[in-house]
Amino acid sequence: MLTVTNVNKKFGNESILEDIQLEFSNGVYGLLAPNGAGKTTLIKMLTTLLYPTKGEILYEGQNIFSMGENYRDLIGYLPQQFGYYKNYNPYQYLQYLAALKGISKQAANEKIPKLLKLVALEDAIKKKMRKFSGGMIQRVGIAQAMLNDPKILILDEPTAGLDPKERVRFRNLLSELARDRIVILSTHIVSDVESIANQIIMIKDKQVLFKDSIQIICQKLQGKVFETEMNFDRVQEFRRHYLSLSERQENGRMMIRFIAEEGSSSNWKQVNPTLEDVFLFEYQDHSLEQLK
Amino acid sequence: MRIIIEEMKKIFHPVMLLICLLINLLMYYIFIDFDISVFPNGRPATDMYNIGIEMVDKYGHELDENELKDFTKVLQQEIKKADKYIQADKEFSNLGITSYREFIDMRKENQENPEIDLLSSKIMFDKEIDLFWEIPQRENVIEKMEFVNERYGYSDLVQLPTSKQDQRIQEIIQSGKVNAIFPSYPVEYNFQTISQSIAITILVSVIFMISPIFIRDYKNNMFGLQYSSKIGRGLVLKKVTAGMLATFIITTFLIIVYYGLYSTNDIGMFLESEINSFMGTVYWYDFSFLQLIIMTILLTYVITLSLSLLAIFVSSICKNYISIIGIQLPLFAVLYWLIKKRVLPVEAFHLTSSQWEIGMIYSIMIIIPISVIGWIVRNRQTKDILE
Repeated sequence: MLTVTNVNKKFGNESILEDIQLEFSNGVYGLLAPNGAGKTTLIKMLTTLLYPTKGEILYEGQNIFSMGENYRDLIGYLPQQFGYYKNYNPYQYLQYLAALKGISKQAANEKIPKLLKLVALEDAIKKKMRKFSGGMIQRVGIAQAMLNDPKILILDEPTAGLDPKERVRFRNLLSELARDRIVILSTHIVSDVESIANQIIMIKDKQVLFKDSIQIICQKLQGKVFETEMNFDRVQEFRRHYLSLSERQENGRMMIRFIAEEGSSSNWKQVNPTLEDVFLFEYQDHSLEQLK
Repeated sequence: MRIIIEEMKKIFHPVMLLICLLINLLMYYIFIDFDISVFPNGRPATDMYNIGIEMVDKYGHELDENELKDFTKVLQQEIKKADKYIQADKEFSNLGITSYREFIDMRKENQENPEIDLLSSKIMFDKEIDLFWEIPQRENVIEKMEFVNERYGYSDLVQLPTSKQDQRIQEIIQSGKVNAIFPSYPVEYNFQTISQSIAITILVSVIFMISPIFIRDYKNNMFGLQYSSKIGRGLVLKKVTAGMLATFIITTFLIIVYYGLYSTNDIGMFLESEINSFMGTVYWYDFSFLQLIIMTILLTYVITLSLSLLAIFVSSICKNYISIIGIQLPLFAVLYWLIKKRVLPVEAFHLTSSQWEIGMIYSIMIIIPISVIGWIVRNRQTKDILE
């Protein structure tokens, strides 16, 4: 079990995270927050790249920084902007990272083709990575994170650059992997975690806002999410009074999904809240900026 | 070891090797080639070199009293040959010159006489009569030996010798080591020039190959993956080790190549000669020429490993290649200046080099790079990896 206890992180005088308390056991954890909320900072602390200003992070009761390489041997990490050498091919690149992970050359030789097959790159094993598309690079990144068969898999914005087909494939892969390990997936894209995360962690105002299952988180908005249909000329006025979650045109009218404290009109249809609704509700300012 | 090998693979990337080869070709043809293809460089260097070979062949590596007498006898025979040449030559008789001595005296007394000048030039440069080149060199050798007690060592000094310098000169004379046969001109001079050029070429190659060691990873966003892997921040030390090993390999390879080329200068017969010779200069230590070469090579290693550590340090603190060049240029300029001032590595042991100053310079060259690298290694252990 991985435990984050009273962790604070400051850069100079600027506080990024405050009093973070989390527990992770096997399963997929979706770390969901808008950009700049501190997801990457938390992830970098979990990967020992950053030291907490206060508090501690424990794995099986031991401080991860004291565990040193014994802890790092347990983690697989895909950074947000993960690095690679353009003149390397996936085989050379994975061999290099295998060396850093303390994996013998023979073991790496056996493992690399399997991993590249898993991410559908078996035909590009000797192709220079400079010729790869964003999606292919990201798949190499996923393969490198899996090299040491990690007990804790930490993925920071892993679906960036993946096409819809690859995203589905990736989600299925994570579900499979999460059976016997901790998978922490940081993202600001709700659909990435909605279908696979056992628990969602949301960070707001430097602190953990929610750490619960999707169902429980969605209950926070139970009875407050509605859909309605109206003429275009009324939309502007409507938005001034209610938080619009999504809008689409249908049959010459506007279909709006929105939040209201209680149903006040007969043509409002109450619907079940989704994780995206909660996300948009909680991060209203951020969400609107990101939607723009 | 596997990580070190992987890091070295990055250093020895084929494209880098190819560029390094081009740099070396350029440096070789600009700085080194001349001292190899043109040795001995003209006259009287060639004559002195030939006389040196003749002396070693005939007398071994030392010249004793009897051998000096023999050498003087050879000189007399050469002068007689020159006399015969002069007597048989019409141009000399037209000027009333009947012997070599007369010719030399007239040349000294009538320095602005165009006829003598013309004749002298014709004999020396047009006809290149060996006798007229060799005799002054032989006389020079004898004079040096005859006045060794009065002149040896002092002619190299610009100022009056210190008591230590004086003591060293007297020590060499008293011990008889001064009798060594070693034509420092042109052999030692050639070695000094070429070893400087070799050291500078190796430095340029090492800086070029080693400088990207950290910045390559920074530019490729590799830090996150590297420092979160099992090796973690310990990678810094592995990279430093890989950099040092690579420097050692580059230096060794280039030393083999360039000193291999230098060996074609045919200086093998002087390798066993003591360098503190009446024919040459004074060193603080009793080295043979071979030992001087070995010591110079060892000091070249010290300089290149030292600069390599600095290059690794600079690479670890810089964010772009321009700043690397900006910081390394002054460092390289200081080393270049020290090498050209003949402090490093060639004349480090020379009597004119204060051993205290040389010791200080080399200590600084060793201590500063090790200290800054130690700081980087410790700093990376405790520092947040933000990149």
